[in-house]
Amino acid sequence: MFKFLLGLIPTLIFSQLSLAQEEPHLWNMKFSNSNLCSRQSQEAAKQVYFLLDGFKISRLSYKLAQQAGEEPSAVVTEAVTEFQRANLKLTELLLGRLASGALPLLTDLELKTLKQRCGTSGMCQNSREILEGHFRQSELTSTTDIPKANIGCVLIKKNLPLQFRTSAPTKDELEGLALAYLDSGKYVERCDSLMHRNATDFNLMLKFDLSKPQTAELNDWQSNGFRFWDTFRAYMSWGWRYSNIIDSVTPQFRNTIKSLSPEEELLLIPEGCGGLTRPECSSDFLSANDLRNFASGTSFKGASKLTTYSLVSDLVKLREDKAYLNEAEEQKSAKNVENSELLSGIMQARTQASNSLYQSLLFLTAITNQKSSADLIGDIEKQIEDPRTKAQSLSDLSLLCAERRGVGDAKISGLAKELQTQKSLFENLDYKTFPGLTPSAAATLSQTYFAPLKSLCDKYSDPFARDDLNVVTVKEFKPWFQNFLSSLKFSDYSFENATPQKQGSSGYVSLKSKPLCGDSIDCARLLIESYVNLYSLSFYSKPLLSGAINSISVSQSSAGAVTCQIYNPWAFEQLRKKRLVSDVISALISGALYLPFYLKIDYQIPKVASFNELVKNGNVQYDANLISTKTLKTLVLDLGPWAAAPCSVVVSENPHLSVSQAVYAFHGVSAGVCKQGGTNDAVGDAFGVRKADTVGSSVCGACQISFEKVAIGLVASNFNTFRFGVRFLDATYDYFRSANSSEMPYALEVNPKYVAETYTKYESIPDECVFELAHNAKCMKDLCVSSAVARYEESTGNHVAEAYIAETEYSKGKYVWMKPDACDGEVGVPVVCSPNSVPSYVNLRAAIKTKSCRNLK
Amino acid sequence: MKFILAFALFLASVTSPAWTLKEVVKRNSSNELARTFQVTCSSADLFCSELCQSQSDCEVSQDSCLGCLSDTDLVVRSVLLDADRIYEVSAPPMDSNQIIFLFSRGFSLLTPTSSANVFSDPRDSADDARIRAKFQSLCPLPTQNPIIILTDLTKAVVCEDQAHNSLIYPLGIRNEFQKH
Repeated sequence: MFKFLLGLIPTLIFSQLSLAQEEPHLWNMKFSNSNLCSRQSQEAAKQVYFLLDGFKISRLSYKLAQQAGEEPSAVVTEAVTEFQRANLKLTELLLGRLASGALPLLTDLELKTLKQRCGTSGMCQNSREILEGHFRQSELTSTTDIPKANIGCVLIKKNLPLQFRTSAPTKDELEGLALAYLDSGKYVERCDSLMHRNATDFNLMLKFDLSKPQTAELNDWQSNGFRFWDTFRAYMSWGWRYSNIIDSVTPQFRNTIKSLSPEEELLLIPEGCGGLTRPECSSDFLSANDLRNFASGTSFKGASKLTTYSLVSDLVKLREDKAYLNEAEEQKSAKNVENSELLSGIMQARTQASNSLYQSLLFLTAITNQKSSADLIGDIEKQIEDPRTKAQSLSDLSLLCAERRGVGDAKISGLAKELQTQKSLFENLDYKTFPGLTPSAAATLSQTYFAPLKSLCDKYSDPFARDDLNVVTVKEFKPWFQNFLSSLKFSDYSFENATPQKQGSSGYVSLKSKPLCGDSIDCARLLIESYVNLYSLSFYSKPLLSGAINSISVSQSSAGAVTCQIYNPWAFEQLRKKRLVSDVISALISGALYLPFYLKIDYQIPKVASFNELVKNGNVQYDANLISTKTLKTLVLDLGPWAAAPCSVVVSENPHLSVSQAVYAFHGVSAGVCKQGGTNDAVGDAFGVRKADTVGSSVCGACQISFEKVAIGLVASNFNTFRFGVRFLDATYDYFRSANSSEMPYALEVNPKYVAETYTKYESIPDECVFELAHNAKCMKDLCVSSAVARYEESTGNHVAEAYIAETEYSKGKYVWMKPDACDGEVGVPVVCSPNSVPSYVNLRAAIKTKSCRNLK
Repeated sequence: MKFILAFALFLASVTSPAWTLKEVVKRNSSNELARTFQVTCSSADLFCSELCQSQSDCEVSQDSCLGCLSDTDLVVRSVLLDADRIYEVSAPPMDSNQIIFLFSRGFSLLTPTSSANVFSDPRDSADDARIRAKFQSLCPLPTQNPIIILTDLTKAVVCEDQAHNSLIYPLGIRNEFQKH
């Protein structure tokens, strides 16, 4: 029955659910500042890039052609083309059905069941029945009942300038974008053109756009966005393997394609700052989020974390060192990312992770099989007692014992603490079949060596307490332990020249006379290293060992920091309003009651103190403990009326208060002194980072000749009313000045059409146009005018070459007068705006048209 | 002990069918380049008539595998990287019934040059030569093109005898690697 139903698919694919194919055009590029991007990182993206890796299909078809005696290049081109076509059709069909409602979104319960049944692996036999049932139902739905999906699809032949940027565009970049717009055929084309020509690149990039209205369920994107992408990923994994879609598109490569897996060949990249997975403060989410580090070319060993806790605590460190963050993000986003680099970076990390898993299991199986813990300890003791090697062995033993404490002593090591409580994470790897021990068995057996090793180390004193732990020694440690030490920030070490693994002529543990390690101490150290590697892999299993279809954000992303409450992008704005209210009330009280005091309350943004952790189904969930909101009070004592001098004394809990902040809004010549208390910065310890409570205070005194004091003399009789006025102004000034803070959301948008128009007119992008063009406006030397023209053009399609702003005699207010190409007269659009700013109001409906333009839209 | 095993191997080779197994890639009925395995019987044998439903040559083709060519497959990795260090011939060659049973279940065949080897670069013959040497070292007698057979339950290696007939030996895990 099922086979029969699947047989219907080919006829359906091409008839009912072909997606809306629009003429390709460059879309508006949107940019968010760091604050806005952080807010958006908690939402599901509506536009997604679909990146298909052609490396493996090329290699595979090359080999097949070679073996069949055919010309490899012709077969490779054909295979890659068919691979891309099959994926285009499969994706279009699934997205189309999901967006049209023909295929229901999986419920949270179903998604949870899939996760439970398949464990870390995203696709397993057990998930088939759930997905097949729904798919079968969608096949049976009468084709006339299926509403047309409304999905945009663009094939990207060449990455556009600014495509993965989130920071403000520069003049040069805008010129690049203008050139791309003028030659857009080189950059984009219709998705279905793929069906009529050969592949031109090994990798395929498509952009799908779901931002047009869809079914009612999807229109509630906030609730269902992430569920949509989770469902899509599940169906993609299933459809690639078990549906007949690939078979029907490309019968001549179906088996070749199906022998690959979508989890390894596909990468989804959300457009902008949104995500495709619901952010959660857990090892699952944060390790997947870490993928972008691997994609940027850093190796798995170089970028992977030793503990799940460091997935969160590193985010704390990153946020606290903001300068570093901004610089790093800037560099990352400024770099024009090439698709092939992205894919090869991830493939490389996957290969390294897989190799590390293999080598660790190989060694742990061999050593636990060949040497019992008693054998190993006995042999190490013999080695130490041998007078010929004693000195060297004792030195090696000190390295071994230090490394043992790294995994065994919870007092100094966060890793050791995690290994006590989160052993179950090793089971995340057990779905990987290996000819030797399973990963969790290998971990359990390795642990049996740790207690005897501890006794041995205790017997030969504690080498970790050695005071000659210098650079030379550190370099001799295994790489994982160097990583561990650097996380403790002992001092500045150079880790560049790590000593290679010792390889004795005949290894203490070997396989078919090929040594796996050197002497007994070296083998014990490798046992610990392999065990640590397994642990690290256990929480990278999903993104790197083919658990699920991956998605990465190549633009800046603070999804992790926001979801773990390390950074709250809304806090500043909320506090800004709170401060305004508090300042105004304070000013009112001090003014009305004739008090010479003024109390200013500074509300602080809550900060993370520590995290609670909970291990659930192989996923470690972190729950932030915040230091509760604290207020810093500042008391201003105005000495003016008594001292007959323009002096004030300020006492504040805020350690960062300066003289200028302490006195009123208007400053003349001033002299003052501030004594500030100290603060405690973040402290690192073995368990991560705890933010110390900020303590400190300021005492300021200042005398000044100021506008206020002069004014006091003039209007002494009305002193308090005046002072209230000054303070009220100060409070509102503070409020509006903070609107320009980098902690407030700010968005830019570039319309490539306007950029190209400007470029054609001036043969370059004039500096003075960059500001307007970055605000989704044309270049007309006044943002108010050009924004109004841009909105008019977008709404009517009438091109406007010239415009100006003027008062009108017909009614009050300002109008932007435009001269459309299509008529000789003018169209006046009422606007409200201050000069050179985006209008806060543009009323196209109330436009006034002169006679010759009356017939215009 | 070694003598007994050698004798058993010799004895078994006498009772094994005279046939050869070779990997062939060619277009199938859907015009797909497919890996098949050519069985050629050198004499009329019950084995061939059972396996091929005839007395002469035939092809066995493995089931299409779903997502089996993975960078992260540890079993394929173990065969390609460490066939000689992890595995060894564990029993005399399979007889006709065992071979027919083996091919009646889901299986996949791995040769150094085959497309199932996603690890090596097809343009680098040194890679393939290294893997071939590892496969060859599993065979008791020199074999030009050894093939590894993987099923859910067993692993086996296809080697040659003196007359260049194919022999299928079950593979086991070497003692050094096996938990006692």
